[in-house]
Amino acid sequence: MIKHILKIMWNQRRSNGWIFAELLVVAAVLWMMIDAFWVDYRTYHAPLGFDIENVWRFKLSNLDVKAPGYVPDSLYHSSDPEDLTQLMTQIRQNPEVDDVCVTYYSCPYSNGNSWREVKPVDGDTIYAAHMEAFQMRNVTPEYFRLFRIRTIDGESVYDKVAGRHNVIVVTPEMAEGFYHGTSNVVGRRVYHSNNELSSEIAAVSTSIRTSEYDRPEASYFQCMEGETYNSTVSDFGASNAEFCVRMKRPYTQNEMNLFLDGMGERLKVNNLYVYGVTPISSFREQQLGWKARMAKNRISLMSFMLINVFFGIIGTFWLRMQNRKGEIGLRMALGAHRITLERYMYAEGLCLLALTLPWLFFFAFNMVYMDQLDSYRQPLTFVRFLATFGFTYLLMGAMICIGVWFPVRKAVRLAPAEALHYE
Amino acid sequence: MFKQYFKQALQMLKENRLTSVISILGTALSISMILVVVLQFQINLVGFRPESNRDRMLYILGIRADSRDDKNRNSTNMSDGVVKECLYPLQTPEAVTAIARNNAIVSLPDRQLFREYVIKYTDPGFWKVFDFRFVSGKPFTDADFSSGLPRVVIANTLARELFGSEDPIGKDVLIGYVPHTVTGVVEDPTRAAYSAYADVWAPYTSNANYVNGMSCGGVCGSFQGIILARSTSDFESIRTEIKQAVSRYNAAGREFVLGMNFVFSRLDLALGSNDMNGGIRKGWKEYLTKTAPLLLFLLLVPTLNLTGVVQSSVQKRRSEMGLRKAFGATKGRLLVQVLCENLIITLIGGLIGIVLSVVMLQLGKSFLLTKETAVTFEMLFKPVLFAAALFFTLLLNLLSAGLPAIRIAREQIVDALNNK
Repeated sequence: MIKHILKIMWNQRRSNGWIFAELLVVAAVLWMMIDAFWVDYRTYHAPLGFDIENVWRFKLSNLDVKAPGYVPDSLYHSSDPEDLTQLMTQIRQNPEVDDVCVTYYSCPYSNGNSWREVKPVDGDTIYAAHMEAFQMRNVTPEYFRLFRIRTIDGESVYDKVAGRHNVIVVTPEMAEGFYHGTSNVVGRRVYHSNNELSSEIAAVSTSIRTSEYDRPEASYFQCMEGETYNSTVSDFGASNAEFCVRMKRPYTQNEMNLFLDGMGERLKVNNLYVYGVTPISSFREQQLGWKARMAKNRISLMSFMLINVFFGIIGTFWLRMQNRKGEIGLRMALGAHRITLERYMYAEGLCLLALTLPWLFFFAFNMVYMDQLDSYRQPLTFVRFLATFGFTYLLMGAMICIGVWFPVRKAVRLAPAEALHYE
Repeated sequence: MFKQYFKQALQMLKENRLTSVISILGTALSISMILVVVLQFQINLVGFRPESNRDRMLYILGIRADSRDDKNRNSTNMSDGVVKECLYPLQTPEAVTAIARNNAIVSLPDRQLFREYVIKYTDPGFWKVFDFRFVSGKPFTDADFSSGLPRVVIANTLARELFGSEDPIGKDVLIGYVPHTVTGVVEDPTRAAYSAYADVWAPYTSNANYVNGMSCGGVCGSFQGIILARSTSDFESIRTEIKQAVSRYNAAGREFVLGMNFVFSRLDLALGSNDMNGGIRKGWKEYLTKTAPLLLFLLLVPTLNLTGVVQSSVQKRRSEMGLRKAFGATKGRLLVQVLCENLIITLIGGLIGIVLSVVMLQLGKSFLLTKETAVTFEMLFKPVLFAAALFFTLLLNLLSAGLPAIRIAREQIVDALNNK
């Protein structure tokens, strides 16, 4: 039967040629898109390393000179770090609040980030020299408790760093790069600030990713406690702090506004005050929004291609059916069953699709060779190819079947006598 | 002659309804996808209220401030000092304005609120560069600006939210605990008008953070500049004037050297120029290398479809073509005939495509533009849209019917008549 179909297809090559070319182009582009989806999907569903549920970011500002309640310099006997600590304490006292922490450009989905050159005192300095700078997260120890960050062994990072001055927490990627799998990473020291200062590694956290769409990178946390806290807050300014608050239960924006309203004067320390509140999830939306837009664009392009395949198949098979009414009539007159005829048509359409497979393999091989696939975030595995190829052909096969179904239904309804009339 | 083709084409449309419908829908889909791309570009390019005069606008979106010892380089925005010395004294433009964007909580004296709004700190020139429609009141005045009085203009949605009416002139709102008096209420601008968009507009002199900026020797600040030229032909002389102003500014021998590398026109921006990280000017070439592959792909797939259909329908009429040839019709004439007949289908498809593209833009604006962008009639129906629709329709027609037409025109009379 297949041989027969192939022969028919060859005889119809003039009209089949165009639809075949279309299937070829669509299969290639569709596969590329599905592969991109695969990478995004797999990356998205890997563990993130932190948890932002019920976490809000309070926005801080300094009172304007003209504002009532402004504390002029002559009456101001405090400092930025003191004011910020005081504000944290006042907010933490509220029974609705679970935890409070302060970070600089290091909160999840923050728009800023800081980088610093570090290298191990006793470890692979070549790796560090090659990487030069690593992302540094400036955080108070409560950060680990608030965002539920744990060590590789599943213990609480907070317990390891609380109350200790000048310590850092590294991610497993950094530990691996510096010490290549040595087990006793905790307690070692790293240099920073042009090798003039060093800090102790207090813990190795789980992998931390910047967002759902990123691979975990080597980075570390600089714990702000004692002198580090004072100098960082003074340098960056208390009002620029990313002030994160985890509530004990989910709040809506309106409930949160009411909550703040109820806090009244406790949202103010000297000239530092809380002026607004945004859930971290909305920063997440802002940051990942473009990715969602891209995915939607890709989906619309994919549907565009599939609809075109559908149109193309209907058009080609319909016209062919018109031209081959005689043949069909003859077959029916000679006793071919309706279902056999239908099967022939579907087989022909799917055969056309199957013929694109070797070309697509060739294309895929080239794409891999030219490094056009995202192999950084997800490895090139057999499963990946199987899944993406399978899905591509499933989608296109379904489209072709719908496309063939329409003309076939009309053709086989023909009465044999009428069909023969065409012969 | 063309009337004859037209009749014939209509007849063929009727004869084979299914394939006609498919061809038309396929064309419409392709044209509409292409037009969505064109529309996005158009919304970036052409003017609409309150940015009606985009064609005459120039944009200073960022500056350079490099220290004299070259150790410290910054890509940032202008300080109020730079604005005063380099922007306000310009003679050639019709109007200039400096704008700093921020977010602020707007409260009422008797009620603390926590919702954030976009606020633009600017100057009286803003109301000359942009054509806002005032629902009530008027802009803050030159006198308000020069004495730094806390005055604001607010958008009508915000006015309704805060006061329950669109006429709160003379009432106070609190911004950072400081009472500001409302002088005017304007119609909400669309978010697509990025430069003009805000919920609240205030004179920047009323906020101490924006005056006498001393960051990097008084050069760096938060202002972007927008210049309204009298006509596009003034662009070059304005750019020269800015250059002179900058060198005059730098002659004062400050610690940091001011650089204004780019003064973009609206077209530059629509083509993707920006002033982030030192800035880059992009022309048609860069835009097309990015967009053309997508457009080509959107054309290619339906072309393959249509070619198959046209091929089959032309094949059916071989004997007719042969006959015409035998009676002296030239190749060119047959070619034109096939193309013209097919053009009917593509034109119908193109028309549907225009409607479809507007619908698709509305449905899909959440991922094409930003969710809140209101797409107005004024933004969409510009000559550019129709020109683009016509161009791509003709292109699609030529691509899909060209090959079958050439093939049939070339055929030997005998073969065609024999229907071999």
